[in-house]
Amino acid sequence: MIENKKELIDGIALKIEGLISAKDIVSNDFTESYHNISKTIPFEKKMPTFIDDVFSKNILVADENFGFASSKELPAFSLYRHGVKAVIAKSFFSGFYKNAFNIGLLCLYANTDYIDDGDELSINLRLGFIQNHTKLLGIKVKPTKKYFYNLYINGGLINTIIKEVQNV
Amino acid sequence: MKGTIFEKIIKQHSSNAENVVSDEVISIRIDNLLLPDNCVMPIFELLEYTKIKPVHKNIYVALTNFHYQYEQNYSINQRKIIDYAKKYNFQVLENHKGIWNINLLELNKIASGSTFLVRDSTVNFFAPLNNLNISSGIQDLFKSITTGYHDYLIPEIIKVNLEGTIQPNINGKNIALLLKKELSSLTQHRPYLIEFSGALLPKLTANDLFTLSLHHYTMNRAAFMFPPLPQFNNLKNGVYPDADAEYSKIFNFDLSKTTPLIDVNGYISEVTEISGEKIDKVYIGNSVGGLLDDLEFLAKILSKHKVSVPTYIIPASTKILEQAVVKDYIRPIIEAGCTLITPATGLCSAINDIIPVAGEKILATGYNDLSVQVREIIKDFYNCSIDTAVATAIKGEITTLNQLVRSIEG
Repeated sequence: MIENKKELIDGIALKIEGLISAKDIVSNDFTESYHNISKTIPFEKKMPTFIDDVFSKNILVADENFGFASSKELPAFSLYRHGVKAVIAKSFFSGFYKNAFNIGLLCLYANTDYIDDGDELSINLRLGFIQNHTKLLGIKVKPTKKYFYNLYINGGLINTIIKEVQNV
Repeated sequence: MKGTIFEKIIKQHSSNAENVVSDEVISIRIDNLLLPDNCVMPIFELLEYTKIKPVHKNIYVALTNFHYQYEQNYSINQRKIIDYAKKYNFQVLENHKGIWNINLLELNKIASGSTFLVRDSTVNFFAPLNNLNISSGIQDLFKSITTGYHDYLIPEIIKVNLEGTIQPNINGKNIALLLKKELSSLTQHRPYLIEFSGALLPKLTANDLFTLSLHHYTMNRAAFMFPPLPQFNNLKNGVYPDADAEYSKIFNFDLSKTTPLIDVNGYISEVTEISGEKIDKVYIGNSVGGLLDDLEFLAKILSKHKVSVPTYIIPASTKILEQAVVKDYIRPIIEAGCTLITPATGLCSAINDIIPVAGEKILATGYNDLSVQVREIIKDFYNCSIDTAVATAIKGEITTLNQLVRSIEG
């Protein structure tokens, strides 16, 4: 039985093609600094329509090694802050993957060839399954490790630490 | 990864690491932490907000020159950072003293077999010291500050064996460029860590090894590890791999026939293939090419030749600059027509205080990847060793040191 609402996510796919580096997500030309987080715009150069698109399409769908080339949290944080509910990709750069869960952004490994831009999706995290309502397909998700699952459910690492401290 | 240096250090730092397997998360004790100033304010704010007290004792804060990032109120932020650092007993590494890696190295705080967590992947600079360096985001740093531990996502372990005897004009930069070229296929989906081995390692200088380590940037941010080496006096107390250690892949390189290499906008070729191309400006230092032996080398060459294009020299730290002045390395550099730039942490592609003009062809010795921060306004970016850089500065066009010597003698 599903107990946590965070395990069920409905949304529309926003598909981005090709290899996506951390710098494609948040341009390094401007800043890597946390001080300017409010000024960062995801995919400012790669997908200038992102800010408008993400209002209606909030499940980002990508290809291989998503978010490579940076261990900083800014790319994941910027996506999360601008309303991305989850990222589905064939694979993730480990730094991006860990930072995403650290801030409470869900990342799922799945074959994204079966998802096109604008497809209507339902993610069932508990069952490890994505329903593509547009294509009438079920897509298997690589099981999320318990460590990362807990981070996501708790709302990220800082919330987890605060809960642990409060429980002591 | 049984018997690897990596596995041994993980086991020494974890109470529940019986089976170290890639892709698993293991909680490890962190010995040293460094917070660059571009992430430290949110951490101080979190400490203030949560009232959770830091438990870690070895925390450093690196102040940097981030004015190129158009920070607003940057000096005000830095004063706040210094005040908070005092409150929480974090040690501040000041920006005007040079790049933080060198400043921390000069403090002699990073020991063999230790773990080091930083929000900056240049932490891999310390890899030749036979320790484990980890780059992470702010949330992971906060956890380590407040618990002393880090939840480490275990990478795949690959061995790179370096053999042979390198030619006199081949150094760490050329080895890094060669590995970038040959190991580009490793830009894959799983995180990996490279353990270096081989008879060549003890023959390299400390400068070569630090230079090679900084170039992990060019290899998918793989972390590096090295065995104990005589250059760092850690043969007795270091962590060695077992003779039958298990690696997921092994790559062997004989570097005896390696020639000077150059990276042009990400593509690596032999310098001789593009000899003769005109260059507008040359930058030598700070992270690569700014150590004391680099300045000694430059003084030796530039005492006999003048540069023919604008050439900027950036020592890696204030301490190195002071030593270079005492040893009279700076005078011949300036007399040859170079511009000396004061040491500072900042844009490590060695363009700290200079704004390149659009359309210029720039040659620098810094590690390549950071050059993308200014690449949009530069026509072509050339990245090479200090030997090739100084020869090119003298001739005004791409050339190896050997080619320059031959052309002068001829």
